[in-house]
Amino acid sequence: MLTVAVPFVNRLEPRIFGLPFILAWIAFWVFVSPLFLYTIYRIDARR
Amino acid sequence: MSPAAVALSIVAATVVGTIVFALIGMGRLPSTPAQYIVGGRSFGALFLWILLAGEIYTSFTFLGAAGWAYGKGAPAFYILAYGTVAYIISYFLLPPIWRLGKERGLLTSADFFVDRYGSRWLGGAIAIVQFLLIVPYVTLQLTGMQILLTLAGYGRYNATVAVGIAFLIMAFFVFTAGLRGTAWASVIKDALVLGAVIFAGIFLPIHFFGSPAALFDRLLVAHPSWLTLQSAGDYPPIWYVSTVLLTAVGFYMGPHSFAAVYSANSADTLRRNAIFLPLYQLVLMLMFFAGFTALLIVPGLRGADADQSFMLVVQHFYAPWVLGLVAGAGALAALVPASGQLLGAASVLSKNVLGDLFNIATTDRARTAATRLLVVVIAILALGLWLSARTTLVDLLLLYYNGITQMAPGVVFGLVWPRVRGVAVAAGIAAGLIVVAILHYGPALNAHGLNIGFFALGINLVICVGITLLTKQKAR
Repeated sequence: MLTVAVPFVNRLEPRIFGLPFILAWIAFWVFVSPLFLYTIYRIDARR
Repeated sequence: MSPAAVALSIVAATVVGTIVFALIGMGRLPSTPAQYIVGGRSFGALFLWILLAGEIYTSFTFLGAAGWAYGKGAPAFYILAYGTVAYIISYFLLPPIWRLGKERGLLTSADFFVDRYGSRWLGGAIAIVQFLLIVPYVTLQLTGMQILLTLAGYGRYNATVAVGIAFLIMAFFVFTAGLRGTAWASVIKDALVLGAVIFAGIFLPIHFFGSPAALFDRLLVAHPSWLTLQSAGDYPPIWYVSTVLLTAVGFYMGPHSFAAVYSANSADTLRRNAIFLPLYQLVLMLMFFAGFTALLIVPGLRGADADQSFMLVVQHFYAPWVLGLVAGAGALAALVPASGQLLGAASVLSKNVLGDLFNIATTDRARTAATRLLVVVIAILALGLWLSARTTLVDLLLLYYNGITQMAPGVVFGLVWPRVRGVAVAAGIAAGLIVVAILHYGPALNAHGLNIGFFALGINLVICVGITLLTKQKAR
């Protein structure tokens, strides 16, 4: 999502909290990646 | 006192204060190589997080993030993405590296190759390549610091001497304190840098435009094409994709990163760090805001001057003590990572070249002494290189990443593919490095924006896998 998808979100609209869409997209995935990793961590820990 | 004197004395007080704090914080410890180089493998999750954040977020990350946002626009967004991708990879990659390091008592990144592929020569060669790549990386920090000190002195003093003095003080600090000292210094560095970044990224846009969103409104009017990747320019989308992947793979391949990995007290500590480090990346987004603000407030800086952009805004519009604090934070952001890099380079040279290849300094005591001595030698070397050739440094950073990433197949295959031999890894790395050198210094090829290190990594992989498959057939 952070890499190969970026050519497809390479645009300004819709603006999110005033951020251009491409920047909001990247920031969103940066923000949720800890959540994904934490989920994996919990699954690993249960094993 | 003149404004320059106020700002510069705050910078000096910050640097000296941090060193004193770090020396007090670490206390007295035995000076074995394991203690000196990897902190006795005892760092918990929080302490390791601070060390990693301290080493990863350099003056170049900050000045560069703002500078790229100022000078290039959307291509700067890659900085936000590559670290995050690197942390996701690290979640899976670092725990096995750590486990091997713990079981076999490894201290350096080259030790990993020696142990896995059973060749001291491969380890020695890798140590030398890493050393050659990391010296320019250290000099890059010096350039960052020179920009900061020149601005803090309001351009009235020659900053070269100040940079040299600050750097040598830092080298002697590493000489005495080792990795644990670097981690303690990171505590102050991280706190100050965070403060400076929040000031630059949130306070500046609010001050000048009312809010960060209003900043983007203004920016879109003034520079409509600035905030997307332009297919026609030097940085098309394919550049973004290949550069993010390359730098993410190369992220943890440096000798200083391996040392930080080994310093963890458990594999679990590394996993928890991988979870939380991406949040630190968001801080970088604030530096984009700062760079964009500068673009509207102090337009017209070209080329490398763009790196000064947001500091110029601070210098023009705020009191000397504010400038001093921001520049002090920036100076620490140059010195703390440089200290980790010096230590990483010195430890691979003393262990894998002097120790393993020439049987010099093989006792614990002698090895610590040799590493210490090399820290100072490399520091002086880096200073010399910086004084003689500072114009091409941005090129050298790319060279560092392109080169250091070639180690990745050897590390990853070493962990997951038992059949791979040292010969295949060595041939792949050699081919990758040659390709990087040719593309870097040779005629400029039109690669459609594809990152050259990425291309070299592909060739490296093909050769490494190819030789492995061929030797397997022979063995049958």
